[in-house]
Amino acid sequence: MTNPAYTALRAELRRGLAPWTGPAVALTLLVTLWGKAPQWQGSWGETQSQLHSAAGLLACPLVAAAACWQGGREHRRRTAELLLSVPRSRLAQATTAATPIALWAAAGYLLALGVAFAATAPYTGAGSPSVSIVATDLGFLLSVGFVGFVVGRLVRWRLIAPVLAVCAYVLLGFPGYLNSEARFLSPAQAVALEVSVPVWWFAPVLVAWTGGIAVSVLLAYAARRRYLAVVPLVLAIAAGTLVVHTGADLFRDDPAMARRVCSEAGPGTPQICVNASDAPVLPQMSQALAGMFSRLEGVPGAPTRYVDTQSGPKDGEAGLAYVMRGWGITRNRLTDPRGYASDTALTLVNRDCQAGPPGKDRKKEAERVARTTDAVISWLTGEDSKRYADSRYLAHLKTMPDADRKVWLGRFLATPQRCTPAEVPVL
Amino acid sequence: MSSTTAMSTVTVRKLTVRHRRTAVLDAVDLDFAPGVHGLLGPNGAGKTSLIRVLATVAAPSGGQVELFGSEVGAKSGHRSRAAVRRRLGYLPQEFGYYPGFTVREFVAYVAWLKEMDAAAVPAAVELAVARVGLADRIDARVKTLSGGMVRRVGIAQAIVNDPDLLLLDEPTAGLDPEQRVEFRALIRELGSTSTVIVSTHLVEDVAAACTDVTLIEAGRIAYRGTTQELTALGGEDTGADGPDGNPIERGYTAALRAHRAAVARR
Repeated sequence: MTNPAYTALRAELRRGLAPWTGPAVALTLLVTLWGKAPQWQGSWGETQSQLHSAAGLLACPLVAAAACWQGGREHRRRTAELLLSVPRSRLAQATTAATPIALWAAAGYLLALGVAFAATAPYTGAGSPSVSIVATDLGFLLSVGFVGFVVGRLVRWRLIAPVLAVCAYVLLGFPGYLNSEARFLSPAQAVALEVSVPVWWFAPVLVAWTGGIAVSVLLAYAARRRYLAVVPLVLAIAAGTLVVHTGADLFRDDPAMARRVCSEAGPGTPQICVNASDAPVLPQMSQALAGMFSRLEGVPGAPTRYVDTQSGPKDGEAGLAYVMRGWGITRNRLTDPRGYASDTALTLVNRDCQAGPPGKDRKKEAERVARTTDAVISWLTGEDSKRYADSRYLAHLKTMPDADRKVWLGRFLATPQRCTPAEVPVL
Repeated sequence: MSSTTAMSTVTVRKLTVRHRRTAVLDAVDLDFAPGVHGLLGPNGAGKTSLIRVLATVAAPSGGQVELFGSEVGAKSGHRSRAAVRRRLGYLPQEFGYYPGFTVREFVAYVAWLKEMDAAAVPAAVELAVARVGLADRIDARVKTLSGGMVRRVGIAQAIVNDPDLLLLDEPTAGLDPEQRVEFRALIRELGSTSTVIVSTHLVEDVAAACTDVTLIEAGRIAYRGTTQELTALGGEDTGADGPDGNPIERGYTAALRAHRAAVARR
C-alpha cells in the first residue's frame, strides 16, 4: 500500500519544474567554483567559503525564482478553482507543491558540495569540512524555496519570478557592504573558513533565523489558524537578535590551523615548521630553501629553525615567507619556489625600522644598508634570486674568502633586530 | 418535480450570489436528489455561479446552502466543510491540469487532495480512468492528450472518489459525438447512486442523460421539471429536426419565453 501523500509528493518531485531545479543549482555552483578552483582546492575551509558565497548569492535567487514559478502554477494552469473544492488543507497543498523545489535545490547543493569536496580532498593537509556550514546553507536553500513559493502564490504577475531573483540577489548581497554586525544575518555573508570555524550553536541559530521566517510566511499564507505564524516569527527574531549581538564572534580560530608540522633537522639543515595544512608542501619548501640553507651553513647565529609567519618566530627562529593557500600554494604545489626562497631570505634580513629624521648622512647610510641587504638576499638565493642587487656589492660578497664571508654574514645577521644603520657591517 | 426535500442531497434556500453589485443568482430555491439533473440557461444566466457555490468554491452572498444535510458557506465550520468536500466531485468549466503529470499521477493527486483512503486510491484511479475510456493512456502525460481526452481526465478526477454529489460544468465541451454518447451513458450510470448536476448549453445532452431539468434565466429559476415535461413543451416529435430545432430545444425556448413573459408582466 502506498500512502497517497507520498504518491502526490513523488509526482511533484518527478514532474514540472522541480527536477530541473537540482541540476540548475548544481550547475550554477559548479560553474562558479570551476573558475576559482586553484584558490579553493587546497583547503576545506576555502572550498566551503566559496560554496557558501555562491550558494547564498547565486543559488538562493535561483531557487527563489524556481519556487516562485512553482507557486504561480495554479494561476497559470487554472487549477486554483479545482483546489478550492477539495478537503485537503491549503497548508498541506502548499507544502506538497513547494517541498520538491526545496528538496531538489538541496540535492543540487549537495551534489555540488560532493564534487567540490572530491576535488579538494586530495590536496588538503589538515582540518575537516564544517557540517555547520552545510546545515546552514541547506537550511537557507530550503527556507528560500518556501518563501519564494508563497510569493508566487500571492502575486499573479508572470514576471514575478525573475524580479524576485534580482531582489533576492540585491537583498542578500547588500549586507556584505555593511560594517554592522547585522551583515551576519545574510546567509550569503562571506566567512573566512580557511582559518576559522563557526561556534557550535551557529547552525541551529542560523537555521532558526532563516527557517523561522520561512515557516512564519508559510503559516501566515496557508494555515487555518494564521496567528500560529507568530511562533516561528518570534523564534526567528530571537535567533536574529543573537546573531547580530554575537557578530564576528560567531567564528573562532580553527584549532587545526594552530597545529604545526616540522621537517627533520640535520647537520647544516635547519628545521622548517609550517601550519599543518601546508604539511604536504613541506618537502617542496625544503627543496626551495636548500640553496639558501647551504650558503648559511656555518654562519654564526644563522637560524636553526624556520617557522611560518603566523606562528610568530621566537628567538633563534626565523620566519618563512608568507604563502597563502590558493595563491602561493595551489593543489599542494608551491607556485613560485624561486620567489619563495627570495621572500624567505628577505624575511630573514628584513629590518622593520622607523625612518629617523632626514639628513644627508643618514640617507647615504640607509642607501648603503639597502644595497648591502639586496646583495645578501641575492647571494643567499644564488641563481634563484629574483632581486636586482648592486653588482659591486654582490661581487664583493662573492669574492670574499669563505671563512671571512661566514664571519661577515654572522655580523650582518645579528643586526636586523637593531635599527642603527652604522651597526650594519660594511661590505 | 421528481425531487423532494426529504431525499435531497442539495437544498438551496434564498440563495443569492452577487458579483460586485449585480445579482447573479437572486433568492434561488432548489433541491436536488440522487439522479442526473440538467442545468440549462443562456450565457450569463448564473449556472456556473450556482455550480461554484455548490462546489464550495464560492461563498454565497445570502441564503442557505445545505449539502448532505450540512450547511456550507461562510458560516460553516472547517470540519463540516471538509466532510462535505470529501463527498464532492467537481469538474470546473475551465479545467486546469498539470501537463507534465501522467493521467494516473494527476488523478491520484486529486484523490490525495480529496483525502481518500490510502488503500483505495490505486484501484479507484484505475477505475475512474477506465470509466472515461482512457485506460490505455493511463501512463501518458496529460500534455500529450487531445482536448477531448483532457476533458475526460477532468471527468476522471471528478469521479475518482465515487462522489455522492457530482458537479459538472460544461463537461462535454471538446468531446466528439462518440465520446459524448459514452459520456452520457457514464453519467446515467453515476446518477443511479449519486446526485449528478450537469451544467450545459447542449440541450441534447440533457435530453439524453438527465432525468430532471432546471432552467435558469438571469439569476432566477425559469423552469423546473422532468426532461419529458420539457420535451412536451416543445410539441410533438415529427421525427426530424425542423428549423426551430428538435422538441426539447423547442421546449427549452418555450419555457424561456414563458418565463420572460411572466417576468415582464410583474
